[in-house]
Parts: sequence; structure tokens; C-alpha cells
Amino acid sequence: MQRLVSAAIAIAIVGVFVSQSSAQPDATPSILLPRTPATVTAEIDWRSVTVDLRSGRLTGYALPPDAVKNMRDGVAPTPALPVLLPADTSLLRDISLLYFPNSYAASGRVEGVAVAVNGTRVLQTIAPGDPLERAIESEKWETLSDGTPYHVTVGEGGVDLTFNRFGAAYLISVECRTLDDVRCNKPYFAVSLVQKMVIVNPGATAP
Amino acid sequence: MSLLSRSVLMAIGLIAATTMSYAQLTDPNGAVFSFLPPGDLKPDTGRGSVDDTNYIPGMRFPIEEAPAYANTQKFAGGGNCGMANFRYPWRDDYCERRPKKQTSSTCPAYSGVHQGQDIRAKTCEKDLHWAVAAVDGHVAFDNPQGPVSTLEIFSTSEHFKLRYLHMSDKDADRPKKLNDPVARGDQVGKVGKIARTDDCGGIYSDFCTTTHLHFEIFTAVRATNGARTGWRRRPPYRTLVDAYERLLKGQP
Repeated sequence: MQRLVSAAIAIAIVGVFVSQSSAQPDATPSILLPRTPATVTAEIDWRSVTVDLRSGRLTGYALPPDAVKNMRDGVAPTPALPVLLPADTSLLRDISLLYFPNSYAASGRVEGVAVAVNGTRVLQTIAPGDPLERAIESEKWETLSDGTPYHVTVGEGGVDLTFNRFGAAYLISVECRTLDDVRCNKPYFAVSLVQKMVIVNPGATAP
Repeated sequence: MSLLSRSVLMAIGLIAATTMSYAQLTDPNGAVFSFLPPGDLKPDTGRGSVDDTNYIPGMRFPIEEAPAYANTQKFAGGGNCGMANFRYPWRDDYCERRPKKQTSSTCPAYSGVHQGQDIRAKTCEKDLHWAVAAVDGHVAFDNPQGPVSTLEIFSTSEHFKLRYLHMSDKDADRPKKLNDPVARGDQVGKVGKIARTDDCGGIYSDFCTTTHLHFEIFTAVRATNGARTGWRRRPPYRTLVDAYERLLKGQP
């Protein structure tokens, strides 16, 4: 019992010390670990992929094997999500891809514009109280001609367009040679790229 | 031993242990590192994002060597290469005022905001200081001839990418190329290309900047409203503070 009481007193003394030490000027080294968010691996709605392929809303595309750049001994992971790319022939002709178990990254050029595509089904969750939750609701989202909602941002060097399809998150980024090229400081060019998408080797990625 | 004296001894032990974690961190120049809180922008430069989240626990600081200084470029004052801008405390400049077209959901103002954190290396010299891979991953975008000389690393954790802007545009200064695998700490390029602009002219005449790294964190986020699941920029400041503290401790 005595030990418990002395421990309680000691903790109280330390508590006073710590609270006084915390009342420091604004600029101070960190002592507490910041919050960290969790991730989940989303389920892919493969049934909708099949429906979209049959309806022509999405077309399949057979990618040349040498387009995948992270092969090891001739093998790369097969991403467990639909690998979507803009249906632009010049982009697809010289596209390079990195395949991972739950994601992919692609890059190429369209009419001199550098294009990057990221798709993933590993998603960061929003913790309770994260201001992003409310911010997302107030974001401006628009709709592609096939009904897919998208959100676009203009950045320092180009444009980023994100959308969600089949449960995965996709991002298309474009950068031009110069800052005053309107294709990269207004959304229209990035939007035009995603109006028509292909799915790479659809038989290979579906479970 | 009395209850009181035993308590005091125990308290002294605990205080000693606590004080260890308050130990001041000094950089190689002997300066004590300090930083202002997330979201505390320079007065009258916009509204910051008060976000204490470390989005990438364990991330390596993206500039190889300390000291480095996270603070404003656009509103630096005192000459952008002036010594006043190469000292602590660090200051957040994510969400700082920018042209209206630049938007980010994680900024209170949403539009007209800065979308990353600006970091000065130890000196103002161009094409001298190495930027390094902050995480294991691959170079998934490489555009040295673009207007902001971008390099992106897609993480092996598969849910975020890191965007480095204003890197050197010289081939020799960018040892990692598109699709190359990178390990945490690998030199990926030198901090170099100044955009918007060396001479502060042209259409971005109000954006005179100097040699610095602009660093962005893009994460794939599952929204409560599933249709709005997608990629978002996240405030990088707190993650960078944590990474820099480990660099100063010699445990990058």
C-alpha cells in the first residue's frame, strides 16, 4: 500500500514538473510522438470491371511485356487492381510501368507533356476528427462523360486529377515544359486524358 | 525510509528520465534546433493547417545533411539567401498564400495555397546539396526538363508518393532515373533548379525564390463518402520535423 502511495505522490510531482516544462515558448523540440494514420487494403469490385468491359465503357489493352520495368528474372508482381491508363495511342506506345502487389505506377508522354499515373488499393484511413473528412465533403468534384466523379488540383508544376473506380484510388499527373503552357495550368488537358481509359491485360489482373 | 523521502527519490528518478527526452538537439553547427507549431505561418501570409499528424513514421529527412531550414520562400524577406533565412526556428509554409488556381483540400483556405513545404539546405548554393530518398521505393516520375524539375518516389508501402520539386536539371546531378529502385537515404538528386525565377521576371514575377527543395506528400485516402476516395496532398511539416530530429540524433 505504502509503495502505491509513494508511487502516486511521485507521479504527481512529475506531473507538475512536466506541465511546467511544457509551458515553453512556441519554438521547442518535440517530445511527443505525433499521431499516425492507419491503412486498409480495399476490396476491388471485379464484377463492375467485367460489366464495364462488356458494355464498352472500358476497353482492354494488351501491354507489351517489356513495358513493365521492374521485372526480376522475367517476373513482376501482378497488381491486384485494374491497371487503368489513358487510352492515348502515343502514350501507350512508349509507356513504362512499375508493378507492385496492390498498386502500379506508369509514366509516359503525350504531345510532349509528361504524364504519370498512380493506382492503388492501399488506402490511408481518416482518423476521427481529421479535418480532411470535412474538407473532402466541401471539395469540388466533377463528372467524366462516363459518369465517373473526379477531383482536380492545379499545382506549382502541373495538374493532378484523382478519381476512384472499382474501389481503388487513381491519380493522373501532367507536367509541361513551361509554366505558361495552358495544358498544365488548367484542368482541361488532364480531364481529356481520363475521359477514355483502357484496362491493361484485363484477364491477368482479375482474380 | 519515510514515505515522503521514498516518493521524492522516485520522483527524482522519473524527472531525470523525463528530462532526457527534453534534451535539446543541436545541429552540426552547434545551433539548437527549434520549430514553430504546425500551421503557424508567417503573419499575414495565409492560414495554415494545424495538423500534428506524422503521415510517414520513420521517414528519412529528404536532404542528406543537416543543417537544413524549413521556412517560407515567397515571404522570406531579408534577401532570400540572407542569413536570416538560414536559422531556426523552422516554420510551416504549407497553405501559404499562392495564386488562386492552386488548391488543396487540407488547407483551410482551399484555394490560393502553397501545396508543399519549402526547405533550404545548409547553404544557398545551387546544385551542391543532395536530396535523398526519404523512403524505400521507385522513381516513378522524373521530369528534369520540366518547369520545376520534378522527381517523384512511389513508396513500397504502395499508398503514398513523395514529390520533390526544384531539383537540379543536370543529368549528372540526378543519379536515380525513372523506374530505378531507391533505398531510404540514397542520393536521388541535388537541390538546384530555381523556378519562378532566378530573375524574378515573367508571369510569376511575385515569386522570387532561391535554391530550395519543395517537398510534397501525396497519399491515397479512403473517404467516408466512398465516391470521394482518392489521392490528396497531406501537410508534410510534422513528418519533416520528426525526420529532422532523428537526423540530428544521428539516427536518420
